[in-house]
Amino acid sequence: MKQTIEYQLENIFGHTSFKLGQKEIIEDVINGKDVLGILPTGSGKSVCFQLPGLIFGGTTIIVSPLLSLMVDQVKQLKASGIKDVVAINSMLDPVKRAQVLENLYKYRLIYISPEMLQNEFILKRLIKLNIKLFVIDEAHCISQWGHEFRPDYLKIKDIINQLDQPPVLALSATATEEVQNDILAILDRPNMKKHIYPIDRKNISLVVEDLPDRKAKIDYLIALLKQRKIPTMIYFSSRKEAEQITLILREQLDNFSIAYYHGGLEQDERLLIQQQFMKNQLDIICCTSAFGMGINKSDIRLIIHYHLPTQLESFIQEIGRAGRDGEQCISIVLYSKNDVQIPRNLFHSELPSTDITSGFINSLENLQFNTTNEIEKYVYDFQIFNETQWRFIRYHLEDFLIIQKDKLDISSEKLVQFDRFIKVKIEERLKYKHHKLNDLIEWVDHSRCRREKLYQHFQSNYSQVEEFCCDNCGLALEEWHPKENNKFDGTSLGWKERLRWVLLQEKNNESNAERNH
Amino acid sequence: MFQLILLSCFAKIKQDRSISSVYHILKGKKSAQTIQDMRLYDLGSYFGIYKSLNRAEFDEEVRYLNKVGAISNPTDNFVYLTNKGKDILNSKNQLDIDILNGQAFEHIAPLFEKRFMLAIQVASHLRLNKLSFIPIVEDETAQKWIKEMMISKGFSANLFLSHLYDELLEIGESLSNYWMEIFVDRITSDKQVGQSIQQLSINYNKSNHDIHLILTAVFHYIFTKIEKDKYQYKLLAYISDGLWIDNSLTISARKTYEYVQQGYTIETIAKQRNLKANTIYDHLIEIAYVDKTIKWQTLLPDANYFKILEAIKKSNTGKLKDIKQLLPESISYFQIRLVIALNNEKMMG
Repeated sequence: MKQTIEYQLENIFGHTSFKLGQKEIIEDVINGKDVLGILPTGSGKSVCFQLPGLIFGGTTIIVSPLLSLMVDQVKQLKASGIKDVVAINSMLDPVKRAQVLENLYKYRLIYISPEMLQNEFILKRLIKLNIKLFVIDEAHCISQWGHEFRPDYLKIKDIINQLDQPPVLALSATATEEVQNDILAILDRPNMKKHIYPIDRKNISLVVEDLPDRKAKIDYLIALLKQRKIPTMIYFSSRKEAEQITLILREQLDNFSIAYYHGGLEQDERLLIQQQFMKNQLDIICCTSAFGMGINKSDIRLIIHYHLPTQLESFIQEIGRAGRDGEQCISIVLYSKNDVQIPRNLFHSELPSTDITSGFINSLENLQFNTTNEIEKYVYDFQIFNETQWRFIRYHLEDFLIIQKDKLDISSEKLVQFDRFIKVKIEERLKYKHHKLNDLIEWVDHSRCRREKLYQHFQSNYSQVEEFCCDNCGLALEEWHPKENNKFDGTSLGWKERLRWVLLQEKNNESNAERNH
Repeated sequence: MFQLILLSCFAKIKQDRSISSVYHILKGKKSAQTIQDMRLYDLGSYFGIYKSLNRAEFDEEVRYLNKVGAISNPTDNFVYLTNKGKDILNSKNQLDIDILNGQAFEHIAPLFEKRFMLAIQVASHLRLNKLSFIPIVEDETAQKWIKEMMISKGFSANLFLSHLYDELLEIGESLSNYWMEIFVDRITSDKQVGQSIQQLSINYNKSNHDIHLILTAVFHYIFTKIEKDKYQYKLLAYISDGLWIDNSLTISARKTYEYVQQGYTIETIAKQRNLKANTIYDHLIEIAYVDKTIKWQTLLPDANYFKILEAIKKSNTGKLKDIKQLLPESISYFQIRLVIALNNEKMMG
């Protein structure tokens, strides 16, 4: 068997050896065990299910919370020649979706969003398949104490039970012990085999720069970036600021190629920017967290956080995109005290206010809805909640059996109870988020080794590094000399020469030149 | 370029039609009203040249034209060109926008562009034996077309690229260098990933709208060339193969046309197709522009036909409302529109 999986690894993915943890996880999965795998970002988590999925025959289901992540993985698999993969999500147009569902048995890997999994019609089709492996990607979404709790993940257990009990593989890159235990409990698989690998990455140095205001940040960025032309990502929490800083940097940094990327761009424009970055045609990308999921670029050298993230988990995930080739790279957080307000405002947009929620509960009683759809339409038409807020409310309405599968059960008594309950719940969530933010700020303010502090919530130990550890351990940026981006050629030519170059006609050019001699 | 096109449109519709009608023309709305506007006010070149435009962007541009004093205040939805606006329109080189021919090419352009861009990416990778890359065009019909092209007999990535190079070079010679710089930047091959509209806009210091329209104009120019001599531009003609369908009718109107030719009544057609009778009437107007031999006598008596024709000639404005006022109450708007449509060419004279 060992020979087989190593052979398959090279055959399918072109890798000659497994990365840390992959082989152990894959072997257990192939032997039919349930597995919980915690692996650092960038360690090739997806190979852990793609490889067994392709070896097994039958179908592998992968539940994935993020549209972009699903789409990127499917694209990459297709690019490497594996065509029988598909992503089922709300973005698929109805005609195409019908066609996919009609032919589900043809696909070996089926990516699906947790919401789509709730769809009766789709579920019925899935039950008929010969499912050999059930994968839960980003499994921390199961836990309320995970940083991206998704209520729909809680229902996965019932679905697996309807599916003739295939082995389950749950994967995450950021799960504290609390979250790990939650995953086992909620999936009701206490005997799941745990493969927990340290998520600290020795080749990522950690730096925090205290900067009083926007101007200081910009000056710092220009001075820093000017020195080295290397693949760089700068994270922002606002689309607008990402755009504006892009324009400023473009003006100040000659010979650099810089662009921005956020969720507001058209799909095909995003694709272009992403590929430019992959090809080192772009040196610096100013982005929001919409960028990076599923980006498989191995030589990102510098990750800058222009704004504070909201908790350590997403910070670890974002810096984990650097240095996947194992080379030295650096994470720099630009911190000014006032920035703390930005994540706080974000929390309030993620959770509904208690006043609006009470008003909504009132209208549930007064407006005599007959179906869940009517309520949903009301919520969106009058913009009572945004999508995240509504997901939260809806989950709890279902939990209270006010919203049931095909009917509603609205009584004043129930609504009074619900009103009381949801207020407590919202407060609890807010408190939790503030607590997570405080952990992050504590880390930012920390005066001793940042590496030790960063990973203490996730694992009992960490690997010490001698050089380039963190700013508090005496890291000197001046001593860092990464390999620079090769200059991208072609841009300086006129259109005729460039057309020739783009269409690979240089040879003709040479032979013409010879003839002219 | 976008502003110049807007000014040109506003000048042509005078104050007969609202600014919304120009928006619909640019979007290429296939409604009877918009198609009538296009024909009546000679706006065919701009029809459907900017399908991705949204109303907020359009309104912003109109407000800007008012702010710089080129048009009157657009608050009541009707505008006229100020003297300054007329000067701008006359002073600018019209040749650029004369290249556009939306009426003829609006349905070819989007599909052609997808095939063109994807084919270059695929061919350049094949030529270098690189089989793993992520396609920049996700459209499935374009991908299917490329696949068929590649497996067709005698296909060679090498020849594809060299012919394309020759043809584009020749065509590009007669366009401005500036446009061709933008056009070449947009292309993706193994050598470079194409620039997004936003990036081109920053690099060339032009609005997103202008970049879109410049790219569209280059494509329209390519189509004009193919139309003139498809043997000289064999490869480009090949990419456009199958896209040159007759587009003078909307798909829905074409269906109605088939039923009419089989002698069905309007009521039956409406019922059969589960459409409102008014929709079928709109189709008939559309058809009347294309086919003057349509049997209209069942729709309006001869006598009324001539009454309406006279009223059209008497009215100076050509506005439906004004024409209707000159006629007896019993004559409907539909009948007036029908007569306008049937006499379209004569009136444009």
